Amino acid sequence: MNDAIEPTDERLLTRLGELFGRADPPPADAVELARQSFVLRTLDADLAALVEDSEEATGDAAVHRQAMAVRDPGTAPQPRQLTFQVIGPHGRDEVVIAVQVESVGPRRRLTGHLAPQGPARIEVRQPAVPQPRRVDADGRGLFVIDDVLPGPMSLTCRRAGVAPVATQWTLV
Amino acid sequence: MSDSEPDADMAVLVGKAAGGDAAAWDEIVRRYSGRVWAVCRVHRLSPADAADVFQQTWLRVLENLDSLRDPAKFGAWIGTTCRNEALAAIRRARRAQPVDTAWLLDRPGDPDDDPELPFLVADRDAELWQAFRQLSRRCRDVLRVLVVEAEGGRPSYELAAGALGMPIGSLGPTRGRCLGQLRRFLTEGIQAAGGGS
Repeated sequence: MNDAIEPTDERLLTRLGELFGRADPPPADAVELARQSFVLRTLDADLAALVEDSEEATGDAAVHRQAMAVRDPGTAPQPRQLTFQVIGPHGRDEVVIAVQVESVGPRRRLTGHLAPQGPARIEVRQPAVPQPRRVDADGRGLFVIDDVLPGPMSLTCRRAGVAPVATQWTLV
Repeated sequence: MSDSEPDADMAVLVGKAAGGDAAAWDEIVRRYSGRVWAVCRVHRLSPADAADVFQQTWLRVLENLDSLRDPAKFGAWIGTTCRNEALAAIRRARRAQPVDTAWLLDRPGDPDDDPELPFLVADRDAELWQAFRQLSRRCRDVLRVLVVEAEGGRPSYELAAGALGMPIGSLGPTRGRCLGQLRRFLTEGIQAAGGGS
């Protein structure tokens, strides 16, 4: 018992580490999913960074949204708006993927549009879903994706003649 | 234990994973999962949010492998990323409530909302756990994030600083102070138990 009374810092840290290792390790299924996510890499696509998230907005927009929610607490929250953008080197054409996220029961509905507009194939990747799902964006670049699971997701946009674009992983 | 190997080893692993080596990725996940989980834990996320933030953090690592070959940068980046994702998840959960929670938005979590016993502590750990629970939240968080890193190697202060939003220079002194308190609570607990028997 003596070593419990005057242990060195390192020994105490080691004991704590063992305590948490035994009592609260990362869930095995979560670790396995993280391992398997390696296949979700998109090697051929340009990354579209998340440049705007209405739920991360600060300043006037956030205050306004908050005020709306307080004034009428019975209404559902406004849908979340995400904007992804490829910022190309030296004047290369930018690609914008704008997505509205709504909760439909336990799932998410994504309603999006592409700029520049035009038809495209949109792939939805999620770690818990083995095969990416595909939908088509119409001639104006509009698309709707139902039944997205809550959790991380990434969209890959493929169109003829240009490099595919993948959005930054985002929790929806 | 591979954790005791120098940082150069980590740079090699990240480089291999970036080059498509799945075994290298597995090893990175194995080494850092406990640390990422600890960061989720200190933000008091719900179980569903903790699982999402854990996954999301790993996917962001995957997305950025090419730029993370510097081991010091890797630790800082993964700690900061997990913290930011956790704080965003907390804000979304609060905004989803149709009440005025604006005053809560700047707070990473309620100080006293630790579950009584979030997990089963073995008998042999009970004294240490009781002492640990008497610490301030700041101390519990600093130690929780640092201990997972102590297994045979140096703790990643870069990761802990990013994960807790603390200046890296303050971590060592804080850790020492918190360990001193823990030792005192441990001694008092053992004396109390001894006096009562």
